[in-house]
Amino acid sequence: MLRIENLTFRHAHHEADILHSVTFDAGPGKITTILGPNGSGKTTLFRCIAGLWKMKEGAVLFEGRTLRGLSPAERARLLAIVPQEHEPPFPYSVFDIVLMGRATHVGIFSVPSRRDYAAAYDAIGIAGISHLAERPYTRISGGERQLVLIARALAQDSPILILDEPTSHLDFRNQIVILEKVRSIVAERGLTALMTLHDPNLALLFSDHAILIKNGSVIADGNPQEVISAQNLLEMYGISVDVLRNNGMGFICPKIDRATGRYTG
Amino acid sequence: MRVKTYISVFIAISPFAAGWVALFLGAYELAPMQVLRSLAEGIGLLTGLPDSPERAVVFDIRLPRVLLAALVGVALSASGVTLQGIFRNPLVDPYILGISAGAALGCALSVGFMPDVPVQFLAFVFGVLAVMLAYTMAKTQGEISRLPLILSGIIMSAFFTAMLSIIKFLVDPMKLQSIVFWLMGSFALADWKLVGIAAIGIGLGMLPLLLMRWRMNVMSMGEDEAKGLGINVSRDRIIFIAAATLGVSIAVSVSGIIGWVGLMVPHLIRMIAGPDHKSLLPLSMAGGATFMIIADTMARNLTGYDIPVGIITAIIGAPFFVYLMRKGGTESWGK
Repeated sequence: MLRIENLTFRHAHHEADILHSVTFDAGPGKITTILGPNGSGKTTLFRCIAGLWKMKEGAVLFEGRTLRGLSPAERARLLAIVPQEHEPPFPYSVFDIVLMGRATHVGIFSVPSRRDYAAAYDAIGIAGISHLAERPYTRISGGERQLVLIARALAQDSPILILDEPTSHLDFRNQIVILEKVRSIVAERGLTALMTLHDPNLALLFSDHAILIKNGSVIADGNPQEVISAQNLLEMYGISVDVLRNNGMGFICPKIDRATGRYTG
Repeated sequence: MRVKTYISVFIAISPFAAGWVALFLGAYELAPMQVLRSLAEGIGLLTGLPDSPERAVVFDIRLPRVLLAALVGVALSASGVTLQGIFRNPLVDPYILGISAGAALGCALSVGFMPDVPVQFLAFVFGVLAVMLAYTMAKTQGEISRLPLILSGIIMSAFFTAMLSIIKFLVDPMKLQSIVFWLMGSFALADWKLVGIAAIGIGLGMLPLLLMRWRMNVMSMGEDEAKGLGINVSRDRIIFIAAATLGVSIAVSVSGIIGWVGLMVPHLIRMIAGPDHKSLLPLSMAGGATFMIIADTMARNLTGYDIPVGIITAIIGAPFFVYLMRKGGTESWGK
């Protein structure tokens, strides 16, 4: 169990807190999705959990133990981060990139061992990108890159997976492919996954648990089908929506007049 | 894959081939047999023969010169690879970042005014100072971007070169001559003592780089990402910069400022062998040694004079840089 407890954050030399006593739990084998408007503090929250920024108050606990004071290597063995797809300065092969996930298991004065190579190959297989292994990472599509970064996080072999808007640059098909893959991997391996998304529909489709954040505070926490409601979305985004039902799953439809294309909320 | 292996083996043995050929070339004409006999005498295989000028030419002039060129080539290329990797910038090298100019200032200070302080020590101190200043200037918030790093390197170079000019202006003419000649970059002063200094100093600098070469891959993904992958970025960066600067400072102290090698060789090797630092670093060391031996052999043999080798590398390097800019386009300059 990953527990975020009273996490409060403020930038140095700033007057106001960006996160106000954020508290929630994320369970194993589940995707916990954090929804919130731009500037609501999602990225700040992730940076605090990842240890890149120092929180003002509060704690991040895993299995009851605090992550405070861990070295980068110790932290990386608990927590793997999947960044948004990006372009590195050199055209590393897909395999080279995935192998980097083993950095926390490789000593400072050594190179990856046979075990590390095996772990990287396994991760590439699980992500379903074995056919890309020798290709340059700079020459594959955005969706493929996202899969590579997921494979790298799997090679890292950490119980917590943090995904920062994994679908933001992807086309419709790739959004579905990636999220479906993440969900099955998380369930199979019992990982604790924390993810941010922009699209409430994707959150409804692919999360087990949703946290809604506005202005740095949690406004709802629970089953996505319940908390991603018309009322909460109105409060969060200031947009009126209808929630349609299909196969027991909600589907968010903004109030748009069909004839005029105008927002009618 | 297999072709890559052959090419790697070829690059790895190339310094020995280049060095071997270089021993047979020079202003003092020697038959190949004389060269071989002198070598055999030099390493003690043949004994009891009287001292000969041939032996002195081969064993005391050409061989140390080839070895020194190789060591300096190793240091400059390996530092280039390291700096390009950890600064995630394919267009930097020790020369562009001002390390060479800083180290040269340290050397000139020692030669001109502080004969009691070892040249190598002052070279290292000022080399580190130059790169740290360039880095701090370029680092505004979080990540450092490409162009500002190059610009601050140029600023540091200009500053340290100006300080160097003041020293040239102030020292006595005898010392001035040696400083000026040495600044142009040359292996003409090579002897066994310099080879010994270079072997120890450059060896010390290269060892951590070789051991930590795989981490350069991770460092090149950027500070936040490397941290997330479990790297202690600030500690590793200090080790990388210190080790690379040590190699460059020693190289500058024995051979003056030789530019462009640290930029060109890593690029050529990356094109041939790929960007993975696990093989890129050692192959760049070998390629750098070969390049330097060839450049120095050209410097000794192209004309009747011993041209400073720094001039040769600059003549090759400047057009190469233009080629990189055109080829790389936004890939090299973007971000």
